[in-house]
Amino acid sequence: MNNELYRRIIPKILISKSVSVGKTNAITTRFYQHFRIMGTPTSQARIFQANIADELMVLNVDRLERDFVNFLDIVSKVNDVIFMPLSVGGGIKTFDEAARLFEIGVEKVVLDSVFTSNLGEVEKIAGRFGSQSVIGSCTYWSNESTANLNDSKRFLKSMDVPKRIKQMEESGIGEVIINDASKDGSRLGSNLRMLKEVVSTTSLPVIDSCGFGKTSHFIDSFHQGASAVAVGSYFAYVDQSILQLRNQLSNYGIRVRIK
Amino acid sequence: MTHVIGIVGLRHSNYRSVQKAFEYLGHSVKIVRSQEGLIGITHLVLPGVSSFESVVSELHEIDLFAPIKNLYGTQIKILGLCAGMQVMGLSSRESPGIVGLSWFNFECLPLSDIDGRRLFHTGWNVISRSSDSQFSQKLIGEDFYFNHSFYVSNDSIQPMTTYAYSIFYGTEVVSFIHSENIWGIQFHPEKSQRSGLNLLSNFVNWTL
Amino acid sequence: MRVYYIKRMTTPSLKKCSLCLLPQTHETISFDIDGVCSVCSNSRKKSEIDWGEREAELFKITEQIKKLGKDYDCVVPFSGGKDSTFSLYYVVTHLKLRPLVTSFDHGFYRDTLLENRNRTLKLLGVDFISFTPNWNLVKDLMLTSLRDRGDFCWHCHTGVNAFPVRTAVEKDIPLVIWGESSTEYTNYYKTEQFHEIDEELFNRITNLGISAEDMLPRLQGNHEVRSLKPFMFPSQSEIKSKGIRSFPLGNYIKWDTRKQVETIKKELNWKGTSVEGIPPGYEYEKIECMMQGMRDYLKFRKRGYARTTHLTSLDVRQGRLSREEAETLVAEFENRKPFSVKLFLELLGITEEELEDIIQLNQIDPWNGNIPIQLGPKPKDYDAWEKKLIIDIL
Repeated sequence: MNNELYRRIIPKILISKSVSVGKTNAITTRFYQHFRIMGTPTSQARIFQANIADELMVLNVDRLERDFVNFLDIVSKVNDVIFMPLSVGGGIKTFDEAARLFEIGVEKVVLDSVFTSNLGEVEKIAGRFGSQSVIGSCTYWSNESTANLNDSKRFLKSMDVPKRIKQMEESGIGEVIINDASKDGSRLGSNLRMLKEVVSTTSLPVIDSCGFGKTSHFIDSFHQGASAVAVGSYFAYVDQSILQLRNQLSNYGIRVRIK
Repeated sequence: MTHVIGIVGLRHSNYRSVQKAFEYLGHSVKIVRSQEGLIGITHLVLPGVSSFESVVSELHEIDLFAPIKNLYGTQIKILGLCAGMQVMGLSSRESPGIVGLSWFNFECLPLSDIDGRRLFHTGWNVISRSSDSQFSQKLIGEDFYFNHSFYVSNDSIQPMTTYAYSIFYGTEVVSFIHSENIWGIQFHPEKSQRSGLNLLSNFVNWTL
Repeated sequence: MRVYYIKRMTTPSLKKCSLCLLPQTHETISFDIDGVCSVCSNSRKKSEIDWGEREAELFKITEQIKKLGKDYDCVVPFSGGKDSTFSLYYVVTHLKLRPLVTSFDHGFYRDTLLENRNRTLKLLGVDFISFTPNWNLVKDLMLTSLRDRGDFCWHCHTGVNAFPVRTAVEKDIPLVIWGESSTEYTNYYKTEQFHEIDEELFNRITNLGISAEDMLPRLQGNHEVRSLKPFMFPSQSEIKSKGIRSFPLGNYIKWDTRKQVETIKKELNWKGTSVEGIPPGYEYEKIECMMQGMRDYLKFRKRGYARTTHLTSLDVRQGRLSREEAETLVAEFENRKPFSVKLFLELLGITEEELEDIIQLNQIDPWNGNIPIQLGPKPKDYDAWEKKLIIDIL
């Protein structure tokens, strides 16, 4: 990567209303299933702000009981406590939803399932708001031996990923995020093989996501060409803040923002 | 002296984030959507997220284009952010035929690689070079969040202007520009955490 | 400062500073081209600062505070350890402020410490408030934070930092004066900066990335939100609206631990005591908490270094010890299990295997050291700890 930009660490705040009735919590997931409640969205946002994260990503993991109005409210409250770019995703399917998110100050929308259901909407969003405001998300399940567990059929197979990447590029997105759901929450490392393949086939910046558990995992990702890493469980369970992590990465020669 | 920060409330400009930043710094903010709104302000911020054309056309739509243009050289300090900075020039290749505020002599160009593919300067970058001015020198080494694909190059800057650059794919991108009572910033200070907030604070306290 | 890059090796061993002994797994550390760490470079900056000027500025601030004529001029957070004792002494005798002294009782204060405290408060003649949170909540918090972060001290970090500021807000006291600056040992802030002890610092360094709000759902419904209030730092707007300032004394005076210990020993008859895992000669360090040995042990298991490294590195930096002497001490005193492990396990109701599982999950890359074999000696007040901590109903 020779574009002079700093490599980015993007914490993910996964939110769900369905886990506890009436309240929207920040949760962690394992293999894209609810795992544990780990806090409240605004509190976690404040903590990431104090730790000088590069960007913040808020994802709505509720699928059946999606409450967009509530989601909009939470996103707005989160945005109020941060002064950094906010990317938001999780079942966004229409131009209208994207527009309402941009209106409250969201910097980028993360689109995933809409690529299979309604490609035209993506083109509309990217056309109106600009490519740089759309992150195309590709979620796949690479572990063939567990492919029947956890409703993993709803994810792409590894071999379908290149085609999806191409499709996303053509629709006008500005960035790609790849998620190996079979590594989600495992803390055993992300899918470096897929990362390498995707980085070599697209000229768009690639965000590596799912599976980080140790400092060396991040180093591997950046060495394979990831422009950013999106991190969920790691900051929820490991005693290493973003500031501490960036220090360590910088010691290994990775260009990150050091204050 | 109490400052009143007027922010032009363009529809697709994300002015709320800018408002929040100034309020966090303890300043009173006024959202401006008409000529009358310009009365009583000490500072004016022109935010912009989408295209050159959409900013210019909306300014015309709410009858603010000419009044704002006339603020050049007055006591009101003006800050253009992102597309808001770009419309301070003559034109942009993004929107041919659309005329900007023409306070600076530049035309905005597309960012592209050697194969001609469009590039997006999206992410955190550092200010690497600056003209000799006490203030813009302080910016060197500071990092900020950028998100744009059309840029201002250093070829067409009029003389009595100070400016600062960042480098992206080998191209020098003007990230900060200043002349008279005007500041232009290509990045997003409201999304650049402490360094961004400090810069906004300096804008408020800047004496002409 | 050019950065020294660590090369990745097939069998990882920790890179250490070429001057002191801090390893790469220290919280915030970087190395220059000569392998000197950022904590060493930062401490050199200390001598470049005009401390006379800074102290004069502090007096200006305190003169303004006195003019406000409030019931108390300031809150002084106080445990009875060397730093807070010196701070209180300085506030009363040099700054001549009227303080409200506060202490957050985390439940593990040792007898020597309590005796020191009693003596200091009586000799200096100050008003004093102590707060002890619900013991059952404390145990739950310890276990939860141990599981989630490999660090059982969440309630102490947050309570100790929040309580004085909450008190200042409640009682309308305009200033909170703390002890040493965080820049003494870490690089979260720059030495030249005048950092405040505020919500941002709380979220950046103190609460391990978990606020009281975040802790509540992790307690699995066993506690109410209001029981966690003592662990909540007041919001920025609450503090600003009351005009409260909160900063460490170390921003304004040059922090010299040994000199300060001499002062409090002389003026207040302050006494030290031995601590698990620390060599003799350092009896002024960390004498407050019964669980200090366990805390340092967990840090060693997590990061490959602990209290002895930290203390000897400080002495190496100040020229009191050679690096070789420091290494000898570290080899002898670290890599030992503290005697209090058994008490710790009994208190939290977990087995040694469960503790080991938690430790394994929490090691900071690239450290993955094994369980030490040697057990440390029994602390002299150990029986008193058992009596105080294990409450039998019968």
